[in-house]
Amino acid sequence: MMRATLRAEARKARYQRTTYGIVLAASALAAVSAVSLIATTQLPRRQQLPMALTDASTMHLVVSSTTGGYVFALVLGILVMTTEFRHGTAIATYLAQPDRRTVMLAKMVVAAALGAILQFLSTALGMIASGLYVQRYAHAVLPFDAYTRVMAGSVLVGAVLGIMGVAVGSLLRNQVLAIVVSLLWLQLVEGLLVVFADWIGRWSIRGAITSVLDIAVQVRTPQAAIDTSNGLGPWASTLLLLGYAAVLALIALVTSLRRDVA
Amino acid sequence: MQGATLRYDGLTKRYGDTVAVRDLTGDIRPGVVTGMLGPNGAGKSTALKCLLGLAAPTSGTATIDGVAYGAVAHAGRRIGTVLETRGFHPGLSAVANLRVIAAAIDVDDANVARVLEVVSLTGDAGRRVRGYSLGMRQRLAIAAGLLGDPDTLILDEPANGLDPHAIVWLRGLLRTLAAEGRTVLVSSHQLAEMEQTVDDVFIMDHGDLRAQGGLREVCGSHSLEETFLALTEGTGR
Ligand SMILES: Nc1ncnc2c1ncn2[C@@H]1O[C@H](COP(=O)(O)OP(=O)(O)OP(=O)(O)O)[C@@H](O)[C@H]1O
Ligand SMILES: [Mg+2]
Repeated sequence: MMRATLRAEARKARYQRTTYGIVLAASALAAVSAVSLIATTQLPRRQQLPMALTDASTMHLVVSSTTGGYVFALVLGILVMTTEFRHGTAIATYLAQPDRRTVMLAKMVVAAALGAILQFLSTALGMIASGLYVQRYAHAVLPFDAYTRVMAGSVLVGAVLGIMGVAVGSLLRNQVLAIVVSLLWLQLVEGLLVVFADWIGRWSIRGAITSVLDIAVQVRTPQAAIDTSNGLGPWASTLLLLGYAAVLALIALVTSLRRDVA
Repeated sequence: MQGATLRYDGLTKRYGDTVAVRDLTGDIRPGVVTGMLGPNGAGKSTALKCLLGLAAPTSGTATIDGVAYGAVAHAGRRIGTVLETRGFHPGLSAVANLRVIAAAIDVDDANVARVLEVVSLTGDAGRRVRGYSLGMRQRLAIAAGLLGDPDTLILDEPANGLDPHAIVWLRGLLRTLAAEGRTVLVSSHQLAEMEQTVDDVFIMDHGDLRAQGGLREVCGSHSLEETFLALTEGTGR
């Protein structure tokens, strides 16, 4: 019956316009961030920072910035779960597949695929857009060796965040709440926590994501000292993220998913 | 076609301090239409949801051929359900909504067109459900319930929002399905309509079962409405 549940979940994603809208938004974000990063290196003020189009690490940063759509992979995962409660279609889902673990697993598989596809498309678009844009600067050096590594990391992060989204969505069934809480967590809370204790960065979701994406930034200048590497490496970081997803999913299975659905 | 026997055995369902259903016991037989009747808040929907595994009983059991819903093989196909709380994706057409359910219960997509035809929604099938009227939505819900050609049907107020033509049609449908040997359990407030539709009744009030049995056996020489009003006090005024 897992096969039937998977097919139903895939159809839900395919039929809903939101899916395409989110992929589009992620693609736009990836393209805009990579292109604007190239543009900002040309600002006079920035030239004090070690950022130049001839600099390999700067160009690596440009290529890596094409992965920024990953937040949308998380949102897609959240929607895969919460849309069902929002519209009351969860009832049909659980009537068709009474085993709620199977439903959750199928949703995770589909969300992983969606997240991977989203990251592949948006990263590819970002790479193409920035690759074309950078042509106007003859001295720019494109780090071709970085492309495959960044793409691989991007797709992996997309899949993992899709899974995490399903876990978060099962725990917080309210769609808006789930999205707001997870974005606040990613963009704000973790950043603040790191200020209080360095070691938190190592176990943070953001830290793990940057590590998988290979976009850990280590900048030391008179103006700034930034170090976003979590030191765990990409594979350990992937496992860390999957571990978090598993913990959230487990909590959801023993709490919210036990609840009555109707 | 042989429907399932549905059985309540001491079913109690509490929501906090509210006892939605108290110690409900009784059988629903295949081959007849059974009406689950009672005033607002009597516990009808709750009793049906417990049967479907959507709400967990506080104590007692609700079983289908002796097992819980989750243990019925191909439950989604065998048991057709129409529930008022069951939603559809408003951004998708009736066809898309039904195709999702068809995939989930593992039946051929050809069934989608078949059930849309049965509920006379074929002409509007491509429109988004968001724009549907109450009655159209209800017909879509009935279509979803019929998708797997189920041998057992559990319907919570299926006549809600239906026009007189559709109500007469629904009566015929339920009677036909029961005559084929299927199990049909239906809740409703429309007593005159129920009187013409059901063979057996469960009359509930405030979570308690007030009467159960064959329609004539329960009502005697009185109408169903008279019997209902005598047996239940409802929510009062
Ligand atoms: N999810 C819930 N949470 C809290 N209380 C609930 C819940 N569902 C039902 N109840 C309560 O249980 C009682 C029975 O409700 P139920 O929906 O089963 O009645 P009903 O017979 O279907 O009524 P109606 O004719 O209005 O549909 C009511 O007091 C209701 O408030
Ligand atoms: Mg009800």
